[in-house]
Amino acid sequence: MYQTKVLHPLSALVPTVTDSVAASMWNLFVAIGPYWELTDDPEPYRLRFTTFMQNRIALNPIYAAFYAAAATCIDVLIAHLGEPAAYAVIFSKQNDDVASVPLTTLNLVQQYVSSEFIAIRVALGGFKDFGAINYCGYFGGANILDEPVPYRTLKDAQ
Amino acid sequence: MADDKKAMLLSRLATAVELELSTIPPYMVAILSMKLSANREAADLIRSVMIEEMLHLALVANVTNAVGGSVRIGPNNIPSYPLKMTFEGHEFADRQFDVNLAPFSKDNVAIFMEIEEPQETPRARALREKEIDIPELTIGEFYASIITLLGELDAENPGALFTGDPAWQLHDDYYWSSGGGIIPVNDLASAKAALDIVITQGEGAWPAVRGTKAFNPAAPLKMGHYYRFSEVFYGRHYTVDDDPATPPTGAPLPVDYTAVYPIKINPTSADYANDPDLAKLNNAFNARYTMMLRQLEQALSGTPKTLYTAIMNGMHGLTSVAIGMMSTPIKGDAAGRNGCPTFEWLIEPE
Amino acid sequence: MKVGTLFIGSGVAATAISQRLLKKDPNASILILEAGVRTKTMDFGLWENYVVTGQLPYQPYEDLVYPQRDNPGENASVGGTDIPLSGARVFTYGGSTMHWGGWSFRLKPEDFHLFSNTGQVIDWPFGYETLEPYYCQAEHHLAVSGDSDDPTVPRSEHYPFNAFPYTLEDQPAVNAFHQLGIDYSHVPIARRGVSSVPSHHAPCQTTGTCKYCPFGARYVASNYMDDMRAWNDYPNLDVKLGAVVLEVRMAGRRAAGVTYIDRTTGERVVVDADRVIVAGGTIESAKLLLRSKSADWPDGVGNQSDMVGRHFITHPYFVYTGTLNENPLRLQPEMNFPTLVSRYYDSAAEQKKGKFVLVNPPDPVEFYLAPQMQAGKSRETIDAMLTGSNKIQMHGMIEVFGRFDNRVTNLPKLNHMGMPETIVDYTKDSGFDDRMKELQLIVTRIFVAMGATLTDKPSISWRADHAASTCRMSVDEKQGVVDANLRVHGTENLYVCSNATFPNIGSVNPTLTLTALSLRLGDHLNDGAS
Repeated sequence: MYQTKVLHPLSALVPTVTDSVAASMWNLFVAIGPYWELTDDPEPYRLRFTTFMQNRIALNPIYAAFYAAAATCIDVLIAHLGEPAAYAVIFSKQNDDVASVPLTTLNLVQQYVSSEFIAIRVALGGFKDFGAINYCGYFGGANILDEPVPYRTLKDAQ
Repeated sequence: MADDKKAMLLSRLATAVELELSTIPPYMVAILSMKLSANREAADLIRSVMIEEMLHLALVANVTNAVGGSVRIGPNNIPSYPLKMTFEGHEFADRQFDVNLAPFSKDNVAIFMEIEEPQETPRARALREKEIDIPELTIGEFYASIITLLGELDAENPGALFTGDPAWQLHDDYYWSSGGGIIPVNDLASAKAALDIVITQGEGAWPAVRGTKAFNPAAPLKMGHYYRFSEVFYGRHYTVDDDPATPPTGAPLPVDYTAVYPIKINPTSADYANDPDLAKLNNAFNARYTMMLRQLEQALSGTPKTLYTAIMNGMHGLTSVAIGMMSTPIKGDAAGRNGCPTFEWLIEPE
Repeated sequence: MKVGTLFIGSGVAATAISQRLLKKDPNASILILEAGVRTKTMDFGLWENYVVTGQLPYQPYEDLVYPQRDNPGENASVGGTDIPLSGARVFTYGGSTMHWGGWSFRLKPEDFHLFSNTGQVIDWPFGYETLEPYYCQAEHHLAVSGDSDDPTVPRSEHYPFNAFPYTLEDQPAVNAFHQLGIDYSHVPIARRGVSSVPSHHAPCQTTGTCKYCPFGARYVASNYMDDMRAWNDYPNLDVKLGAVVLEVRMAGRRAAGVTYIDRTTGERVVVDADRVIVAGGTIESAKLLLRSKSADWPDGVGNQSDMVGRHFITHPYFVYTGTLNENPLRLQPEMNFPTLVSRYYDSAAEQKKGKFVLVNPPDPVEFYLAPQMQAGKSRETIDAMLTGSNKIQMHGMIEVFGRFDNRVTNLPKLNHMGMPETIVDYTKDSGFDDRMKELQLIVTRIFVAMGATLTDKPSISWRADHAASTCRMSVDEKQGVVDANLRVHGTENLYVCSNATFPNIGSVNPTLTLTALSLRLGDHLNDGAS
């Protein structure tokens, strides 16, 4: 059931983000909803989102710096543009270029923070607004005889 | 009147949640304190009980949610050890002893047996012995009282009790240990069926007739909890001919109480004041434990999908930290004991 | 050091055979040498990383691409057709089951008689009926969900788990197959389901991240090997990771043991064994035999007829793409494994020309939501894209036949994991392109019936995922490398258990057949073979 060999427990002692950074990241995550007109309530995702950020940092401690940089970047954007517009700049990727290496802080935020948040948000349930009932990354449930199938089936078209 | 009764029902269901939650850390600590590779069968038996306690928790949550209650798990109602469970100001008749976070030992297995010991109901005994005072409830009776309350409330106002949101119910998807077992609750019959599993698998199971086989040697992991612990305690398997009221007489079940980490019993954070490394590990453990409990609460109160994260991230993540602590001696401990996670709620600034 | 049974490779073959040997004798002495290291399975953080980045934790243990300008790469492709190795296999504890798709087809009875039926290659030394009971056991070993009423091949037992129902995304293909009278069936897939048999392995939760299942519901050999090792019920079972085997040491007709390099210490280690089972996959198994030269075996053990490494084949995997004018049902991938296959052309009638299967992929309409949002597209744009005109795909595999000149050999150079590199010499048959033209006609009709327009010729991947036949089974020593019991011709105690031993692979994935062969070899060894 469990790994016979595990990471040394001390490896779990990784940097954390400050409360204000955590709050800023949560706001960014929530803002995905209105931008794409998602109808799912993000509140039930909060604990899983927190775990996600912790795990990102545990896997690669530089994520603590990414999140802090993202919070600063968002603060600046909000100060200039106000809230919805600030998030729209991030999500719309208007200024995106083809470089795979992020050239600006905004690129970095998009590549390592908002893009990942979008992927997680969609997998946690945001996908449901687009017509499906399961999604790659979503825990759809088991295939149990005589119980509802956890994805749309051929029968749904008939 | 009905409101009072409903309040009593919800209060008892909340106690039931605490009761089921409270046995999981002691079983987990006993299992993890074992040094590989001895005691495999004992570990499997204890683990199977622990996993069923999780099932019981889910079943109690289903009943709670079916009657429109909600499950609360927080700093004020999580177990602390040594644990003495009380119920409306009284101890349970069959739980008048401490439950500890302690290593795998014969004494500890004896306590596990006491936790799960089938009880003749005090009422039945009182009747038999013509006693006047009816003593406290056993845990089995306590669960029976919940079933009675459910029945009365349902009869008094048919259709008004089981009004919870069906989407809150946990079903078989969420319990895959032995191919299912979670009963979604939406009426009295399913509520009874759910609580019957809790009663017959664990506390309160008393063979109605002497000689009834409350255990099943053909399926050792399906036996009542008491009998699984009994096999460990006596170091023997039951045979088909054994009387459940007597010790097992079958094939030996090897048990080695020396292949165990000498962990501190019922530790608290204060025990690691002089050991920053263990303190850090314990803090990491408690942070993860707290998050797991918060996710568990959420899963049991309307967002079942969170259970996947609670288990796959929380539970599995706890194991490695716990083993790390248990294999580490506490600096400066005169008795030469090793660490053990404290299972304390970590208050996080919100 | 002296052991009873020594395995080279820690994939499904070593796991299934070990399980069988240990069931009979829990004290059996077994050592498994694995060149790779451990990849952590069922780790939630690694799983999340896969969900958001697509990165898999075992990717570092794949072959690099072939050398190109400005890229030193690994291995050498010297034939007329490139067979990519990169991505085809994983050098890790658990072998390629770490990344396999879990498609668990049985071969058809006619596949065992390829030569008799077509004059191509050689026949298997036994027929389907010999393997059938082991197919049943293999389906349990791998925890396969399938349709027990599927008449495609004869079966004596039910699948352990029910088939996954067809997805809505299967609808266009189903419509087309109906219209054209083409049979189809459920894909038997190694995803654990729910049954009354207790298991501490979790069932599939249709999470759609099968390449790294957070629950371990898709069979990975190392999870099962770890189960066997965890509690030391088998005191003489051991796995040594990071052990690159240099050669099998022969003493006349007997394998005395092996010599390996310990990657951690750089030491050369000699192990003696009562029997040696080479289970390192099609390419590495053949290369190891070729490296194992001695006075008695000047060209490598088992290579007296120049058969080792020869007849190298894999499945060309084709992807046809067409255009669907509109997508009102908002078809999009909800699953990560296919549920619909047609084995209509996987038939005796097609055998001479190369049989093939058609698979509706889990993402026929390959519309993934997150990347669209990440690219900054608006909700309106995404909705319009999803419901509008979309690409639609059909996948499949086709059988090609082993040829003497197509071979793998050792390249005297070490790859990034310390393994000898590989020379792949492969040239496709001259008739292959014509066969694909015939397919094009068939698939064109299917696309028309799906209401789609086939846009182009298929993309064909020759990647060596299903590499096979390099140590093929034969009755006649001169025609192959191992006998019907997988023992290397001319030896007493040296076996190969790998896709390498298949004379041919039909048009389906080989792992179920390999598992069946492994369980059969386990029984054979338990029955008192050397």
